[in-house]
Amino acid sequence: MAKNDKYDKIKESDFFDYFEGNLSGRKRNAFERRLQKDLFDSDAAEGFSMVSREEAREDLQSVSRKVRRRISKTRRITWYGVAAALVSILIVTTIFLNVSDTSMNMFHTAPEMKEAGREQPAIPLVTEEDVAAVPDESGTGPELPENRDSEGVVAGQPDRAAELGAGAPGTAEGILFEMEDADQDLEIVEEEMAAKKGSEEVVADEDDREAEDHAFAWERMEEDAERFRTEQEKRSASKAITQAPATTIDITEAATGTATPGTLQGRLAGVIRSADDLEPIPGVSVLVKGTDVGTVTDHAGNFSLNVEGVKGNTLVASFVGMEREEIPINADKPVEIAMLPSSQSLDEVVVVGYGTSEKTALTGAGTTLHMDNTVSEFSYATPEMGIAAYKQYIDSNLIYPPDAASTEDAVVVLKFSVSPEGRPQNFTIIRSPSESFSNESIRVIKDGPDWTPASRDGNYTDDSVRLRVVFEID
Amino acid sequence: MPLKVSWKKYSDWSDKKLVEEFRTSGDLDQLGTLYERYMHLVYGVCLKYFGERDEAKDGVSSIFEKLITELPKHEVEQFKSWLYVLVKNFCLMKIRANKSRTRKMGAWQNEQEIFVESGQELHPLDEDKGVRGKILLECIERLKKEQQRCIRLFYFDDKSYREIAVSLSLEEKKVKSFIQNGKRNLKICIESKDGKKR
Repeated sequence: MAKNDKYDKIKESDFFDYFEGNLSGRKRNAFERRLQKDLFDSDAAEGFSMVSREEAREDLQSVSRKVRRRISKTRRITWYGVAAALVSILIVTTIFLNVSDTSMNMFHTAPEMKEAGREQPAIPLVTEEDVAAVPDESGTGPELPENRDSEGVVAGQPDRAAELGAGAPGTAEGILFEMEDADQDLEIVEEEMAAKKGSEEVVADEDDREAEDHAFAWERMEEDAERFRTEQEKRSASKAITQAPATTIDITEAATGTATPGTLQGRLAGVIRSADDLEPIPGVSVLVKGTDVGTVTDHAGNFSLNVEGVKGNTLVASFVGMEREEIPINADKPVEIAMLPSSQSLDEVVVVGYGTSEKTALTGAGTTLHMDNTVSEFSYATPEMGIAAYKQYIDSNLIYPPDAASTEDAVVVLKFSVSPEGRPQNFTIIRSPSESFSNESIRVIKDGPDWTPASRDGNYTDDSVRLRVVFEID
Repeated sequence: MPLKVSWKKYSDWSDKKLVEEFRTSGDLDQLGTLYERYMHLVYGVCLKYFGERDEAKDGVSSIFEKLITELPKHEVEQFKSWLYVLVKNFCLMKIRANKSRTRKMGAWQNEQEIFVESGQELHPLDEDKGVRGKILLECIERLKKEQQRCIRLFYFDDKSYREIAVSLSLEEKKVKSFIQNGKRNLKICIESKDGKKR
């Protein structure tokens, strides 16, 4: 796509022509195909569809003005910087000179000023050269540096200071006369510096950078402030955090020790948070392992369990999209667990043995940007014939085990990986009512059609598939 | 005013030139010229993610500020694609900062701000060349009926979504979805055929 070709760009009016239906069929198609090509354009189109043409125009004009103001502010800051520097020079000079009465003191101050001048090359450099620059703008030509007689130079300064709105012309004039002698020394200093100096542009650059520094100081401060704020939030949220590198399940009420070992007493309560941002997670299922005593965390991630007389010593927390966590229930201290996101859960596909199917599969592919700035294309394993056809296959081939203990609907959740040849293998049963259901689920998949394996950047990658097989009694 | 004059000066420059010059000179007029070319797109995307005009406007100015510091730091081949990644990351991070984590994990995978250009690979159908390879045509034949019809009407007969929706008695949304799924299946089919050949 020719980025520089103006005619190739979609203007904002084009978007609204499209939305308002002003275009012919063919033009609509052309526009739609442009959107298919470029995600930026199509995302923007979605945004535009939310406002009217007038609103968009208004907003864009206002934002454009803001941006331009921002740009010119940088320039203005430069001149304010110059003015400020000038004024501070004059004030410093005034102070020095007011301290001295006799010529003796003048001798002292002269070298002092020399020192002062040398120590701060930046400021006088800026003022002198840019004072020269200012008259450029107003068209009087760069004669000021030439005009080195004391009155000329000093006279220039207060005028400029007044022009730039810096104020304090009174002081400037006072200095005028007192500085006459000291000026000789100043001139020497200035000439030395002018010699050292490069071209005007170099100064301009320094100014710009200085001004930019001013401008961005506040931005950096804002960023720092924000970072500080989020750090604070993190810190206050994670009071119970120890060395454990993950989020915490804070058990605020610890199960108390008991007379009969292995049996719990009292209540177990706590909060479950996510590993990476310490946000509480609602809907996490919390169980005492091996029992059916459990609950689900509420909207704030809290849970509370009555474990009186329950035999168990481990707590299990599970949530879709997170790694299942098991924590030993310790009578003495609060337990901490990490709930880390699981990479596999997104593969979950629901396949129904009988009857109608529901859950639609995911799109099957995605682009991931990694921490090390590489990009990879990843696509999940899918049945070669397509999800719908695969469901049909299962539908027609799944057999409800005749020796099943119960006669109700059953669900088997299992996991398998896909070989490079597309064969399901390495089955793991995650949940199943009984072995006969597990075996039948495995059989129907194993004997079933090929899967297209997962791939990253076009290369085979071993990613497991999580499948839910539902047995329904017709 | 000096400002207006210099904007005209830069308006003929290519994106690439503006990026390079800005990197060395730091001249905000150059950046401004470049940014104004795509500002409406930035606005549109911010609107999409924030859902509010004021927030979208703020986004556009904040992103300009960001550009000033970030653009010089990176090697940028295509400014437009790079800008898109920056805008999306900005919007997503802002949303995460605002909303509490009630949504499931996995929605926003990027932990850091990442500025790699989205090297968007064009689908064969979207390419400018207009040459439809044999493999592509074969794969189109194998598409499911609805997907095939929508793709043919859209890409071969230059019909708009609306026209296709009318002639096939479908919703426009359905048409778009058939085209998207069709394109995806085509890609899978083409890659597998390519793979088998080799």
